[in-house]
Order: sequence, then C-alpha cells, then structure tokens
Amino acid sequence: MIGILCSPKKEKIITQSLLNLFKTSFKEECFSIITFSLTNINILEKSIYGNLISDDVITPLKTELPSLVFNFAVQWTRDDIRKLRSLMEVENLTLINSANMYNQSAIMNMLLSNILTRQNVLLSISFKKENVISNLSQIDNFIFKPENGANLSKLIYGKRVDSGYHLYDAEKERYCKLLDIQTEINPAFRTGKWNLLKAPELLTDGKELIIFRSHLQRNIKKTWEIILNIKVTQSGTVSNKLDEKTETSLLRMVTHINCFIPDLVFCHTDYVYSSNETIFFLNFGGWQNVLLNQNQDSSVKISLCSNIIDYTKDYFANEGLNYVG
Amino acid sequence: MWAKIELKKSESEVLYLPSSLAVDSEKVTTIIFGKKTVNIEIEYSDEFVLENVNSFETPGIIGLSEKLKDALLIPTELIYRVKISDCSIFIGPVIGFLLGIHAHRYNPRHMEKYSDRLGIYNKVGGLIYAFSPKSINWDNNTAYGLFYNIVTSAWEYGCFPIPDVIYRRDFHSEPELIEKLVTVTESKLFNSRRLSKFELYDLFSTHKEFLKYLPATELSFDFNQIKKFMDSHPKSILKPIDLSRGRGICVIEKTGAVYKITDYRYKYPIRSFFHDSSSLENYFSINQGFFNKYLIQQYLQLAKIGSSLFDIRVVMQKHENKTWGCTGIECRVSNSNFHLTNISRGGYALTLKEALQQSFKKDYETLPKQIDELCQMFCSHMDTIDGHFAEFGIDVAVDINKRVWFIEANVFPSFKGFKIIDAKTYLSIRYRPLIYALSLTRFKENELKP
Repeated sequence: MIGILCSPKKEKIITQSLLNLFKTSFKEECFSIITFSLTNINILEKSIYGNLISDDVITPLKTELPSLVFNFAVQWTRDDIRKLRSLMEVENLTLINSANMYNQSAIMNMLLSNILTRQNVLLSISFKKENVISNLSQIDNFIFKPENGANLSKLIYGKRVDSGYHLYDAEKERYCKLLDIQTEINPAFRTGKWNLLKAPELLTDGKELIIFRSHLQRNIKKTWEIILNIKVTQSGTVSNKLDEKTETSLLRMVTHINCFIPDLVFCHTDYVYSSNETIFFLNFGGWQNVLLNQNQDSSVKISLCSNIIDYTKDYFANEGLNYVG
Repeated sequence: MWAKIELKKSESEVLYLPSSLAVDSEKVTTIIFGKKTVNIEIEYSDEFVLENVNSFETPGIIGLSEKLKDALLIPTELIYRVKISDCSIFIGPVIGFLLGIHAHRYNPRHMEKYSDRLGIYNKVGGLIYAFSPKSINWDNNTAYGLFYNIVTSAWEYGCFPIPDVIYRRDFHSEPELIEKLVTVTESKLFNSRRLSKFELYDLFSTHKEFLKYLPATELSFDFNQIKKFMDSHPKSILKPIDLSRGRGICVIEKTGAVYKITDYRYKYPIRSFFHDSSSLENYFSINQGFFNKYLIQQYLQLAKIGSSLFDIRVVMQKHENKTWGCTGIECRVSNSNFHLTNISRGGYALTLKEALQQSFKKDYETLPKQIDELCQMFCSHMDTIDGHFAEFGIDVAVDINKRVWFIEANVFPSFKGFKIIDAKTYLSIRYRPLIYALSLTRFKENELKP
C-alpha cells in the first residue's frame, strides 16, 4: 500500500485527483493508495484513518500505517512538526519528502559549499532592519526575501538608478529615492527574518522581476529530471526544454541539495536571470500540490505517478515484500 | 605536530613538506585523512616550516596541491595534527557527531547548540563535523554534513571522509547503518547503542552486587499482572520503556479497595479514583497503551526536600585512559507534591551536598560514596556487554531510609541543571567526549585536561 500524507484541507482534492489518474492511466497497476492527514495518524498504535483508493472507488478506512509514505503536506504548527518527527522515527517506515519547506539561508549555504553551484548563489549580506540605507549604499542592486519558506509575493528587487531605486515587488514596479528606501521597505519587515542579497542587474519585463520555477523529481536511478517549468510572475508555463546552461545549473543545484537532504524526491526551485543570462537561485521547496491540480498538464501528473509507482515497486522489491494489494 | 595547510597549484596529488622532515618521511607513499587514503608524491621545500615551538597556537605549515585537497576532502581553514608513520602520513583527527535521521533540520543554526563543545578545539584540533547516517555515500566512504570552522566560529556545509571516531548523538537511525559505521571505524563509534529501561533492568537483574539497587520491575503486559504486582507493591509506577525525562508515566496507588491513578501523560496530571478492581480493569481496557512497551515498577518512597521529591543525576564519562569517572552530579528537585523531578517541568537543581543536607540534615555522609560505587559498578558492567560506551547520565534516588536506588541510565543525557548551578562543570562535561574521541585516534596525547 502506498501512503500519501496530505494536508487536511487538500486531502479530498488529492484523493480525487489520484483516483482519476489511477482509474485512467494506471489501471493495470494493482496498487492500493491511501491518503490521510497527520491528524489521523495514531503513532503509538501505528494506525491511520484515511481514504483508500482501490478498484476505482474511495473508501474511508482505518488501517495500519503504510511502510512507505510520500509527504504531500507542509507542517506549519509546532505540534504538527513534532508529530511528523515522531512519524519519521517510527521503525521500518520510509518517509519520502519528510519536509517540503526549508530554511532558505541553509539551502543557500549548502549551494555555497560546492564550487560549481556557488556560481548561482547571490551573495548574502548581513544587515540591520532598522538601518538598511547604510547596507544598501555599498551595493547597486539587491533582493530582500524572507528567510523561511518560498513566498515570492514578499520578495523585493531593487534596481539602482541614479539617485534611487526601481523597486519590483508584489505591488509591481515603482521608483523610490535612496533616502526613502527605509520607509518603503519597513512594512515588509514586520514579520520574520529576512535575507538581503546582492544582485546583478536582473531580467524584468519593465513591470515585474521575472521569476521562473522549475519542478523536478528524482527517479529510482537517482537522477533528477525537470518535469515542469513555469513563469511565476506571469501566468503560463514555459517550454519544458530549457536552455542547456539553465538545465545544467538547475540539475547541479538540486543534486547537491539532495546530498544534504537525502529523502528528497520531489522539489521545486525558483530562480531569476541576470542580464548576461546566468541563473541565480532564489528559493527552494519540496512537493507542491499544484502538480496534481485538475487543470495541470496530464503528462506532468502521469510522470509524477509513474515515479511514485517506480519508487513503490523498488521499495517493496528491496524489502522482499509483495507490493500488490 | 600541529600544522596549517597552504594550497599550491599542481596537476598531481602532491604533499609539500618542510625540508626538515625529509628523513622522517622518505618512505611515505600515502596520506590518510579520516577514512580517506590517497597516494601522493612528496616535495620538500624550505618554503614550508615547522615552528621551533610547535603548538596549536604556533603550528607549522605544510602544502597540499589543489588536486590532493579535493581528493582528501579536507577543509583548509583548520589546524591539524600530523603524524608520520612508516609509509603513511596521517592528518587529523577527524571526529564526527552522528546526528539523527532529520537531515533537513541540520543547518548552521541547529548546530549552534554544539558550538560550546568546541571550546576545547585548541586541545583537539582537526576536522570536527556533524552528519546524518542518511547522508553517507558508502561507495566512497564520505558523508555530507556540517563542520565547525574555527576561523569563522560557524558550522559550514561540506563533504568529508567518514571520521576516525564517531560520537553518536541520536538513537533513531537504522541499526544496519550504525553497524556499518561501527565496522568502518573499527568500533570507534561510541555510545553505539541505547538500552531501554527494561533491557537495563534485565541486564542487571543477574548482577548479584547490583541487584540491591534495583526496584522491583516487570514488563507490563496485561491487567491481571498489574493487579498482582499491586498486591505486592501497593504503590507502583508505570513507565514507558523508550522514553526518559518522566514522559508518559503514571502512578497507581492502592489504599484498601480503592485505586488512585495519577496520569502524567498529559500536560497537566489527571487524577482518577476507582473503587473496585472491575472499574480499574475498565480503565486499563481503555488505556491499552500501558501494555505496549511499558514497565511497572515499585514506587519508591523517595527522600524529600520540604514537600518536594528529588533525584540525582550522575554524569559518568570515560577518560582518555579508558577508565570511567564521575564528571558531575546534580540533584533535581520537583515542584512541590509533583512526582516528576524534571527541571524542564519547573523543578530546580541543587548540588548533591546541598540536597542531602537539606533532606536529611545529618548522617548522610556515606551516601555520596554509595552513589559513586553504584555508578562505577554500572559502567564497569556496561563495558562487558556488546557496544562501545563512553558517557552515561545515571539517575539515582535515595529513599526516606537513606537507601540508594538505581532508576535509569541514559546514553544521551541532558545536563541542563549544570548549566545553571556550575558552568565550569557543565563545560567540562561538554568537552569530555571530544577529548575521549581524540584518545581513540592515533593523534592521542598522554594527558589532556579540559
């Protein structure tokens, strides 16, 4: 049985989406899938209450905790994070993508530890929230972004012009005088920790900083592949065939991060382009439910599910178990 | 010999040594760093020198070609010990903290809690890094992790050779991986296993001299057994086998036909009364968890300070001469009328002398010696079983009759109390495992004091 750990809010949608996929594209596979949320796991009893997808129907069911679980959820609260950690410590349980949200400074530091991936990382500058002018006076262009999570709507790109900055953020492009920068940026600083990154001139469309997101997955041969590319700041996908330089850089970055986070199978990376077409890392995250959305390209969904099946077959073969049923 | 590393450009794997080492190293063909061995060429040069007074503070300088640096996976910011022996030159030590399975959590901020251990770095030197067993590449004996950069006083990511010695800091890893590490380090992985409370009880129940320190204990498996146990011990305690720090315990007390249960599994203890055994049976049929990895133990009438219970944590650690010694004792006093003595639950810490004095006022002078004997006996016996141990937090209690009892021993003890009552002892305890780790390498010194 394949276990899919979902957030309670998405459990129903993911269950339905998986049912549709397995009903149509994976009919011949004799798999049972059970979706469940963290709330419905009893770690002491090693049992779950979830939705069994089998024989074209969804059946609510209490059953034993599957030994292979794919985590499609992000745990936000302290209690949920603690429970997930306990789940990871359950004997003979393999959890794929045990986390889907990462500390971005840590990820950047991982990338900095490799001579090749280092080239795609923007230099981080320590700064004081209450006195950014003194820090910014040393650099031309900058990015402010939250340290945790991958929320791009909070990101601010500042492009130096003679006596101030063009600021690009969720409120689109605007001009700001150097001395007004503190006032402009203060509202963003109200919550959480922030990173200040020194940037070269980055690619914009005049109104927005153009941010790309690539979704990747690792196959059982331990090779990463790109499954979907999108422009984050403008709707619509990008050609799945990226230029070779971008693709090489992305695969290199994700492969390197994977060395430090070995249970990673699904991830996404956000990046921007400099004016000389070098990509620069912005954010890294794990699984995203958008991949199973109803309007998502079916080839993406099929590719994901094939990979899940491959992992399951491989896992049960290694364990000497029968995966059917 | 202490040395810093200078990098030189070369297409080969070259080690550059001071000319003064030409005689000592004439047969050397390999360099060994942790579990990495590389064939090398050696070049001698007056460009590299050994200081007359060679020490951590005034190290010599050796050169490595960039290619050799890459092959060895050696961070060049650190200060190393160097030993020449027959055909090999050794650089090190390489000491690892073996973390758990939550690899995504191990970042520089997480590692800050280990930084105070590095206060002894000038006596140890070399590469000290933390890694998860999940991030080991067994094909080339390397591991991805975070090393302590003494120059920046920060933990930095990298890929390194499997260490010479490993200090285990987590007990949730797959046993097979630990076994592999034990093999590859030639058993220099210490705190290699954790025994549950019952395994410890089982192990020591056949130890004639130790038996007197053990409270009556049984594995809890059904209601009838609990009831029978209660007939012999009207006040008993149910404890989870795998948890420590008072988590998950429950106290049962029988007075006449009435049973009182105080359940500490929740944030606030829940008290329940049962007026006959069938209602008690009903309680246990609902709480089946008490028959899964729980033990039932005789409740000890522990000595008190005022109205508060206290227990004693003895930290036993191995010295570099491989003998056990007590490196700290703290007494943890519970909140008034609370069964748990944990500082994390609002208790406070005292020194042993203060606690015994406040509890007994007089005639307690022999107790410290008895406690020491118990702990020495415990550690000596642990050295006879399978595993490599170098650190225990032994929980001991004294009852109202001044009898000393063994409660439990933990290979992953917390020392929070020491941090408050004796910072010097706290740091000394923190340093000790690194000094012991060094003593297991070929870089050991005759005497090191933290």
